[in-house]
Amino acid sequence: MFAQPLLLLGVILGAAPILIHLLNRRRFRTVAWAAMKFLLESQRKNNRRIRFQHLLLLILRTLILVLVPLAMARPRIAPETLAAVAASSPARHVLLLLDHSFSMSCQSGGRSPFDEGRFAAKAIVDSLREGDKVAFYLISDTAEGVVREPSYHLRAVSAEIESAVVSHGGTDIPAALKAAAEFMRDSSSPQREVYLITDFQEVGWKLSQAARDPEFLQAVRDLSRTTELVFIDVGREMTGNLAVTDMQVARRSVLVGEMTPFEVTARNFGFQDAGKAVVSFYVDNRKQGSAATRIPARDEVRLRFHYLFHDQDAHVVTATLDPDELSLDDERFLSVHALAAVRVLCVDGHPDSAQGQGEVRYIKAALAPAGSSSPFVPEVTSPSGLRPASLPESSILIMANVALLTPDSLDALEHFVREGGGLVVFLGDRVDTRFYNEKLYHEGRGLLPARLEETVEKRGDDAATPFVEPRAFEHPVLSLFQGLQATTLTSVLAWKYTRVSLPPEGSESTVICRYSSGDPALVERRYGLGRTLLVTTTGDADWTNLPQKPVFLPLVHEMAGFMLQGADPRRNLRLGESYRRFLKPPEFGGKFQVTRLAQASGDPRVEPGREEKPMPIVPAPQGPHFVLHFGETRQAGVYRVDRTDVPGGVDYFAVNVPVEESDLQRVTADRIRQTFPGLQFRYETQGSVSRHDAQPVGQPQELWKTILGAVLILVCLESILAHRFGR
Amino acid sequence: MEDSRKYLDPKILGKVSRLGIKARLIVEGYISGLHESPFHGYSVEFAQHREYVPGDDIRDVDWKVWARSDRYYIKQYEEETNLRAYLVVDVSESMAYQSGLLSKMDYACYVAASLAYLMLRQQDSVGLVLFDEKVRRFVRDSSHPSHLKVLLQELELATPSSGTHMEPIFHDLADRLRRKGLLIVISDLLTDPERLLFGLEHVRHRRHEVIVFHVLDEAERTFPFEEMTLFEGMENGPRLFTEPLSLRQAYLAELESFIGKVRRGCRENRIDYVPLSTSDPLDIALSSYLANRLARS
Repeated sequence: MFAQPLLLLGVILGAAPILIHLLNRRRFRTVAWAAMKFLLESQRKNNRRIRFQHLLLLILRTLILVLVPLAMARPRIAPETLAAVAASSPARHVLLLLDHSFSMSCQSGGRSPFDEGRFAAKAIVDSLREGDKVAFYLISDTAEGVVREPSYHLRAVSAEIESAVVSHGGTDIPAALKAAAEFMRDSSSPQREVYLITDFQEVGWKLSQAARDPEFLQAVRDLSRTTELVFIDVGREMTGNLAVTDMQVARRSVLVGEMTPFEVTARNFGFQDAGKAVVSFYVDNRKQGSAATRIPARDEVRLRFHYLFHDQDAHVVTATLDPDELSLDDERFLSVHALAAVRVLCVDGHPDSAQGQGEVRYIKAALAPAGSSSPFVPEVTSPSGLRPASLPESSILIMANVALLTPDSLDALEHFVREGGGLVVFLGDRVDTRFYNEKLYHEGRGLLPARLEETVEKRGDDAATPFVEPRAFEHPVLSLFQGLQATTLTSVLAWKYTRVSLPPEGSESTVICRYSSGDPALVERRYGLGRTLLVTTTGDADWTNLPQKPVFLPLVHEMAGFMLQGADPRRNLRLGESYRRFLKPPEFGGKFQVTRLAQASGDPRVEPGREEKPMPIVPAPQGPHFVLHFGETRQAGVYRVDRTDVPGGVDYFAVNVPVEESDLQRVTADRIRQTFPGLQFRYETQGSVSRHDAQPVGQPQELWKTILGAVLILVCLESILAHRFGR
Repeated sequence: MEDSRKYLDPKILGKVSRLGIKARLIVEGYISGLHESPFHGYSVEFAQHREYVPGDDIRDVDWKVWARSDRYYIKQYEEETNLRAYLVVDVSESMAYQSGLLSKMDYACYVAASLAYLMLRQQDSVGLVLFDEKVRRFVRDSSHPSHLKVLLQELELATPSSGTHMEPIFHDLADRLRRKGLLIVISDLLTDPERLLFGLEHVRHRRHEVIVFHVLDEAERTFPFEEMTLFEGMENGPRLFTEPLSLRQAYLAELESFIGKVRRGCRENRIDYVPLSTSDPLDIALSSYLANRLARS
């Protein structure tokens, strides 16, 4: 078939050399020639050669004049013909990369891009012939080898494609292409082909990030040089997508008997304002409320729901939107553990000081003021009473003027914070600076957020050191006091404190506030899943008047609240993140299983429906602890952890889909080409695949470039031969 | 001096009408370019007297003998002249081929005429043989200056016709010319080389010196044709319709092979072979002749 069939008339030009030849035979001169003998002899000896040369040049010239108009007519070759040609070509080595990120599940008209992708993948496999080999990978934010080694069993590969399902993961096309380059590097086949079947979702290409990744750029250059790369677009133009993108506990602690606020974020990823969207809020699969809202284009709204927990237990909170074309991101789960109270373990470093009332007397009084209800239940212990066994029960640990710790206590403390606990450290004259720096600071890698230096003491008027500076109120610990400093914090004095130095830039340490001298007063850092907070003066009135000020009580509450996590990060995981839980000593010998509660479950906490098959997990020893570890979290939803040998001990954790995958904005092939100039690929659309039902994938192949290349070669050849033959 | 030498150029010489004048212009033009005259140094050795018969040149009468005996005797020398030479000129049809101003025939006649003029002027005896398939004209040699007129007239009247068979010509001449002399063959030699050489060998066997002037047209040497051409063979040769460009290399190779064969044969028979093109200056022929003459003396 031809794009410009009329130009085929130009093929008549091919007769020109023959006509010129015939005309030349009619137009000749006559010469009476004496040396006929030599002429006849040379003619006799070279007749065949001359005829061959004549014929060769005539054919070349005719071909040139035929091919030029043929190229201008833009001939195309049908895929069927290509397949027939391929039947005589070398064996193909094909790698199929099928995007199964959850954006591919976007339903429209009963079919999803993933359905189209499977169709295209099967069509490619069907186009292969005996002797060709194919590997099949499902790609999302990871590459999952379904048929890892290139297989000659095309039917088996086709069956694998048929049974492939969409995942709950995001997309990472650059990672997939790097893997493809690595995969093809060892191939010895001259006919290497990589088919990437995707919905061309922009976020999946990570354009700006990949464009700066030299390893990726080199990989695609290598791949383009050795392999035919075909990108098959099975996506659709985006019509808009609403998603629940976040749900948080809007306070530090979830306590029984206290109203707990939840903040739900719903986003409109479309370019048009969405109509009325209804966000529903469930706790343990019981609807607690709903809110209607309008979400502007490319914007989000935050809605607040409240719930009063009545029992101390694990709970599942769910926020949903009405299902749209992409339903997986229309719900979000949160696992929360309601506590009757927050246990705070206070380690008194100098129990005998100040008439036996110890270093933590102000702290303890502030945490649980007499005559009022407080969520905090302080317990006081000495450094020797700090034992590994006592820590998993505590949510917060406060150390005041503690000289040093035993190695066991130190290990337990590190483990406690790493697993989500909060540690507040007050200093004092008994603190062993060397121990703190070596064991707790540990070159910036330990619990302590700053290195202790010398103790600074100020006397007389100099002691009137303002405790905070205004900029510090931006931090959550001090935000409560914003606007109140004139009557509260400015009256605080510290006449003695320990000067600290921060680790190098890039560490996680943050100075919350400083003394007027510029030295840090409060420094905090993240450590594992937990936090540590360092107060560079004492927790009693030895070095500062802070404990005697009214501001001390709310400040201690804010510091303790800051240490709490709200929703437990160990129970609210990203897709693929492992669930880990340290067991209490009574659970050490227990048997456990994990069940994903899919869309349906008999459990009252999630929607009724089908439970997936439970998967047993065995506690593994880790140092003095036993830990439950479960890594099969590639599916979003709520997972229940049961102890099977004895009743009770049920825990829940939630896994949510990646937020960015909800953005269905597409990227064009041209933009990809502009961003990655070294990436050479052929772009196919879903339409071209569908038109050729179960036929080799591909649009008709344009041949004009090939023909013009051939013409160029023929022209060069003709010139060389004509010169050589003397014509 | 330069003016007289210009007539050595065939293009200029072609404008001169009379062959006699042409011959004189060529020779004088040639001589004027030499540092020494070629006409001195030849000794004349007395042999005998014979009785005068009418027709003898009166200048040859020995007046001393007449004074003593009152009889007319003619002085005869060992050789009456310095050299007995025959100009053997090809007048076959192929010699009529002409791509420029001069045909091979014209060129051959100029060469023959100028040699005759030169030789007669140095008192050599010159004869003329015109041939194609056979000897068309045979003019016996003479050293008398008036003989030039006879020779020139024969040359001017010669018209190319018929084919070429050189071998019998040379056999014929070998038989006819009993006394040894110099044969100056001027021809395009378009005949079978083996038979040609066989004929020349016969002549050499009769102790004749031979110089072969091989005259070819410039077009025959270079084959400059490009368009489609119908070549019609002269001397009743066949016709050939061809694209000359494709044959040029092969033709030149054939010609070269032929020339090489003739040249080799001549060298083996101690024959001077001088290739000439119709575009060459005419003094080449004279130089070759004089070189041969010098070698003989």
